Amino acid sequence: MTRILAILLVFAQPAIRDLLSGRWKTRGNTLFSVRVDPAFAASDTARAIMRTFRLRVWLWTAVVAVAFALAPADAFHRSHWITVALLVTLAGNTVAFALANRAVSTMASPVPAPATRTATLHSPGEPGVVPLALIEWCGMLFPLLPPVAASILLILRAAPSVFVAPMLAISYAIALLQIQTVWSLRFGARESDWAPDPALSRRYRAYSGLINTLIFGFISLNGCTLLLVPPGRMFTYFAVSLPAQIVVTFVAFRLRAWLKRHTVESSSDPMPDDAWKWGQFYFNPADSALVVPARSDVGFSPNFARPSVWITWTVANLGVFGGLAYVLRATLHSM
Amino acid sequence: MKKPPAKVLLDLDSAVAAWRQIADQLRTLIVEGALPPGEALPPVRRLAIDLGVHFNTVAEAYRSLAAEGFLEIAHGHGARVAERENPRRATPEVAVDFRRRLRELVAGMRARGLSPRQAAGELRLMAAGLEKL
Repeated sequence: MTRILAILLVFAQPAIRDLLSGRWKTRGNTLFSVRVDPAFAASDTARAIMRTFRLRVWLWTAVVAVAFALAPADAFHRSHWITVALLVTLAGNTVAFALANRAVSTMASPVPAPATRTATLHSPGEPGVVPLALIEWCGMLFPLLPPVAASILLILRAAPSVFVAPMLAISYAIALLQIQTVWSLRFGARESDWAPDPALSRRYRAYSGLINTLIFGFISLNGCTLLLVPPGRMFTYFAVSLPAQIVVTFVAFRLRAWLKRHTVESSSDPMPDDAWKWGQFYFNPADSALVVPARSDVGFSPNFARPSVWITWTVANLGVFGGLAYVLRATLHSM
Repeated sequence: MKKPPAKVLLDLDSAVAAWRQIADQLRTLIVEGALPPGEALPPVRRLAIDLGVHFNTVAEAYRSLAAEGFLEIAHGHGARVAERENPRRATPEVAVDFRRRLRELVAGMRARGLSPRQAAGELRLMAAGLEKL
């Protein structure tokens, strides 16, 4: 049963990507993060590139699923094996996207980035900013609550296990990334990238940050609960908590989707094509923005050329992958 | 009716340096009254992000306007439009400088395809607007 659930979870990723792939050509007339002529986006060449991309994603997922099917049965009782499989699938998808990005760059004629940029000199006090500020602060603090609460409770209980330190390291790393992301969306984003109207732009960014923080905050919450709740009670916890998590995340997604109709489609995109490394990672030292909307229409990308971004990401990734490697090593030794 | 917010436009293809483009437009907005005295300008970091340029570019534009007396820069409080009275009489050098810059501007525009008739039409429009002040 666990094996089947794990394989379904692995397949969920390309399925979601497939659902979203139809939208990938929409943002600012880009296809796989390359600015193209609308005629090219509708051409047979573009359709062939999209087909090849989908084929690669599904093939890679099938390979991961087969590896899962052939793995020893014991592995499926460890939830972090699923994490590894999801990460491997994600890496495969990223490579497939990069290959599609290269194919479009080679085949489409280059379309230059707009030569003009506009900034609005609005006054700092805008109406309706207090609830947004509340959302933004909640977004920054929510992922920090589970590891802090878990740390305090574990210190009080004085019952450390081999998984406590790595799990807390992962949770703190997730919190660090979320604080950086929500901070960047509030203070380090170019308003016109998200919406022509500054007030709408800020609202859209606040909800985007909230969604991100909810998804990763819940991952952190579930991870920390694993440390605190006895294994026999985990089912009760998930039975109550998971539906609530899904509903809250769904509501946040709906709110953002409602805003999106008025925002991203009509916003400007001054980013040059060559700043999009592998089509998905934004690296532009000439740009002061800390975060920009992703051209793949799935979320946003930090500007990895900014020191505050790459320092935070390095520290956070050391925490996440270091913690994960430690847990895997401990599990393999105990098997 | 609510006044539309003032905007700064940056032309990346222009031969004019980015900091000068920003300074020129802010000066125009201040002189024309779109940015009244005491109005706070966006922080350097904010404007740099919005225009997609380095912080130093905007800082240079602000410094240059502060040196000309258009802005007051207070550390920790950002930049504000300064109370400034335009001189009642221009020196002959100012008029000479004005003529020279106008000729350069018209020549530059003609080099980019603006016909003499169009240039004259635009100048007449501007002159009519100035005479009403």
